[in-house]
Amino acid sequence: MNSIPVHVTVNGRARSCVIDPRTTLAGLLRDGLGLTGTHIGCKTGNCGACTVDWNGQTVKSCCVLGAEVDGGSVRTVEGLTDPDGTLHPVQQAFAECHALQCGFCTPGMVMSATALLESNPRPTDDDIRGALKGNLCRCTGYTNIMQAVQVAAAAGDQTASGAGEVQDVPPLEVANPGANDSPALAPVPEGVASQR
Amino acid sequence: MLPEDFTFHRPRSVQEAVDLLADDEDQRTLLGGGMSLMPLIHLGQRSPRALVSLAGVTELTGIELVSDVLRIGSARTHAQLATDPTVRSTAPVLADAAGLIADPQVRNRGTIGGSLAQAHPGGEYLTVLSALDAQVQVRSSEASRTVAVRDLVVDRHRTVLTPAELITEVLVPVRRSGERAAYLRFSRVQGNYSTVNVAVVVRYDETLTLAIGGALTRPVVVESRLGDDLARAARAATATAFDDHMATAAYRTAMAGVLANRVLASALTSTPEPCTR
Repeated sequence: MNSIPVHVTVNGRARSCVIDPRTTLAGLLRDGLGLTGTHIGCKTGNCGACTVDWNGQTVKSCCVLGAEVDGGSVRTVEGLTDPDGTLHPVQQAFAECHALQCGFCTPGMVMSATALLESNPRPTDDDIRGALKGNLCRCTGYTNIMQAVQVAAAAGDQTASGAGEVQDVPPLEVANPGANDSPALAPVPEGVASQR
Repeated sequence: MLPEDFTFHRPRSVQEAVDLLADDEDQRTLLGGGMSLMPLIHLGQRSPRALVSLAGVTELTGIELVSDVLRIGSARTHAQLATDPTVRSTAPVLADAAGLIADPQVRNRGTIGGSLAQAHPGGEYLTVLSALDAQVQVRSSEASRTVAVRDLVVDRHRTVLTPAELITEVLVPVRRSGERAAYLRFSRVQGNYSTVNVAVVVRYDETLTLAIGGALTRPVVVESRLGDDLARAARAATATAFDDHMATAAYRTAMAGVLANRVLASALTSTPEPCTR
């Protein structure tokens, strides 16, 4: 097997690992760093459940190789939540508006909605539809998701809440160091559990 | 499930990239934004033995206006093209087409060079750049050449480029005085490639160029004049359209006619380039 070193900042924290070149960014985050909030739905770039922010732009992490993000900065859904577990305004709005049923698409929806509100704090319904075009939900019918994004926009002066900055998450202790070449699975902080 | 094993190269310059491609021992495949190649790898439809990633080649990201030609680095993303002020003002129809591709995440990552090299029949750029009569600048480790976008594709997913060649730039003639242009796409599934797409450029002397994508396995160009039956010409040019799971050949031919009229109407109601240049 080939292996390739990757140095990447994830949710504000510098991480280094050695990966198989075939590892996707989604695989690196989930299996390498234990950040299982990023979901893998299709691996063909259709569903958007794996959406993360890479260098300030949303991407579908199932179709980006881990090796490509070397030297970059990634923010996942875990990085939206405050260290004390306080939900990001978009996450809070999704919870309040019941904008999820099974929750599988939710991390990707939240990442896309957050990116929208950071660039366009007062979106129209059409803006929201355009921004969420790359995220599929098979449960909700989208109505409550649309509503949640509008509620988050109304609730929040996004700037005042600190959105747009990469927030640090509690350090992820390596649970089983040295078990293999890839970073061991780490426990997910409590505040993140609701996003899994 | 992991795809078949491959090695990964990340060159830092165009020279390094084309030098890597020159060594064809392990059939190196270029990885641009990966928005087509990565899904194909995951579906098992492509099994490259080595990938040459362009993620670290910053030389390929320029946008420059040089004597009435817009030179666009091949690693420019769809999102950048859709919003770039220079592209918007000198080739607005190209910006429009880029903004209609797939969805925001794909536009953030997919590149113009990657899309052209992928040569999907329903790709946006092949059509709009054929209408604009754009060219691509191509480099190998030993030589460079320009290829007209109209002549780039030979068949579905096949171009005239050799495996050792890399598209470095797209050269787009800027909009001339009195010129109007428009682009339209049709797809049954949101976010999919176009089933049929069309672009038209109408000039001040009432001549026009229509390009049709998605009907044949390569773009079709129709030269015409205002007042001629453009829909009929579009149907004639796409008489040998292909069948697939998205549409029948007859439907594609019919849609080429419908879209030809619509895109012309759209162009004629747009604001022409002012006569100042």
